[in-house]
Amino acid sequence: MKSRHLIALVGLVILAVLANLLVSRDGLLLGAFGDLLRGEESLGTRILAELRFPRAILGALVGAGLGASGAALQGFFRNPLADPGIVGVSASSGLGAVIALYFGLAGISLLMIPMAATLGGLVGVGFLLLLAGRRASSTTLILSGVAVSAVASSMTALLMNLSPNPWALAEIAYWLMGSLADANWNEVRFAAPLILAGTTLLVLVRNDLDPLSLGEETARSLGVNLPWLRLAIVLGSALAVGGGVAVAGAIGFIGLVVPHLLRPFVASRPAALLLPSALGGAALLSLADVGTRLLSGPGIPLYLGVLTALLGAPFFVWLVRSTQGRAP
Amino acid sequence: MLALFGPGEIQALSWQVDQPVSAAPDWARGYPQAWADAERLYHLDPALVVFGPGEGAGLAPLLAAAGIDVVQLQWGEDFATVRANISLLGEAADLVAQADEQIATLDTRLAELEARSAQRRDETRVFYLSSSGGSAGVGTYVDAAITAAGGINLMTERGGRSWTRSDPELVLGLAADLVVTSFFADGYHGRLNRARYHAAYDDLLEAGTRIEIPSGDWPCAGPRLIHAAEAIADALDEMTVLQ
Repeated sequence: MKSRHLIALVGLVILAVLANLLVSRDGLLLGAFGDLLRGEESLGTRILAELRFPRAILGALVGAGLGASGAALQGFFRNPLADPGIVGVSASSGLGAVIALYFGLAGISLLMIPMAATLGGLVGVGFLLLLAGRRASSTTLILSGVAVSAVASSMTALLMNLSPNPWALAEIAYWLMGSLADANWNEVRFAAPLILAGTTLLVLVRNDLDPLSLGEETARSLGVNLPWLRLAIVLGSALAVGGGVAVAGAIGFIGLVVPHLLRPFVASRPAALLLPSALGGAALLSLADVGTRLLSGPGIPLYLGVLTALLGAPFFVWLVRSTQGRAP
Repeated sequence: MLALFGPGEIQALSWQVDQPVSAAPDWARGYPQAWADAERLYHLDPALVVFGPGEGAGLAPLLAAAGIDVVQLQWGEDFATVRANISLLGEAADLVAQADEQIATLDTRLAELEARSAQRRDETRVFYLSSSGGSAGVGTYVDAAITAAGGINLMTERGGRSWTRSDPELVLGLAADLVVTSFFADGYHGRLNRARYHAAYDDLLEAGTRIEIPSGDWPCAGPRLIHAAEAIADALDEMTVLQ
């Protein structure tokens, strides 16, 4: 990616995060931002300090994790339809959160949901690696991921089926739709290290993705340690995506769409796509979060996962149509 | 059902009767439970099956063929629907006189609330908050109870429609005279409990006057709605005296 494109992308992230921080249905919180800088207290400064800052930070982090994971997984699987959902991390993290919700663990502390979601994601990854075996090809890994997703989704459906009352079911369903509306600093403190660790791991191994695009045998002959790369990609994605699901619920399509939008700028080099995808994911999710706020009524939120699905589904249809002639 | 029928007249009650938030008396909590399932209802073999709004539509012809009468309650979240449902039940069970008496009592209590409201000079803004962080705007039974008590539903005033969900930014900017909470204290185990744990709700819950309405007073279009309205009116009267 040319440096001017990268600078433009960084600029877009800054603008998107600022928009997420300052835009509301009643206008911009510019005055409040000024008050905050001057150390004056007002309702606007409380909204900014207690709600908007954690929300904007989480929006950028979750988006970055999803974007980077999408790029890494598409590169690793050499499949343009791969996204973080394909290795079963999203579904496993969602299951972990639903278990916490079902058994009322959220009543102990709000951090119980993020912790359960992260644990669920890690258990899902463990199951995936166990299922795929030590020398699994990317196809075996995809199939194993689909199986992990199916198991996690069926267990989630079972728990929703067994909900003790309709209100509990509604709360679980709303959580699964994904939202940053209730973001707080505790969630930032919890999720940021996980997402940053996962994204960093993916960035560190990105250079092995370029030789892999020539095929596994070629990559092996060029010195790529495939088992290590597989472990790093899966674990990195689990941390980056699981940390995001833990605080924002299930957010789809960011990991699929963003790498596609940016691929033309990196001459289709998987290694060069990772960092721009992280930036692009941060910008897109931040803007989507602004969109949910502008489109929501008082107390009737448009959920973030719903909006990203509404935006991403047509893109997915286009992607399927455009790859029809090329897919094996 | 519990407003019109006594212990010997009820064969089974809903699956919610033994829940912590149920307002059913002790004698009713151990009753057999029924739900919209033909086999279950055939097994119970009652003279009359009362379905909630939208429930059991497909079962009515089957039950009628088996000689079981069916009545379906209306959906609604206001006192007009409370009256309509008492009347429906009374007609279906040949208890019209008892139903009319219940409706007359309800109307008397509503008129008393109106009279008490007329004596208060100041408008009082009331905000409803459940433990999940949700509130209730226009078109909800909470709105009906607040309005009947003589308060102004702050959520409705802010443009809220129907049942709303956790919105910390909205809550942070609210100035409510009275906060009506539910599902905080009577054994309801919510799943998210945003209002209990998110710091944005602290001011609202701790700063002003707050009353907790028993969750059992909130059945949709149930006669206990008047209890909730009276509890809110009591709080409003007390605030007026303090002023």
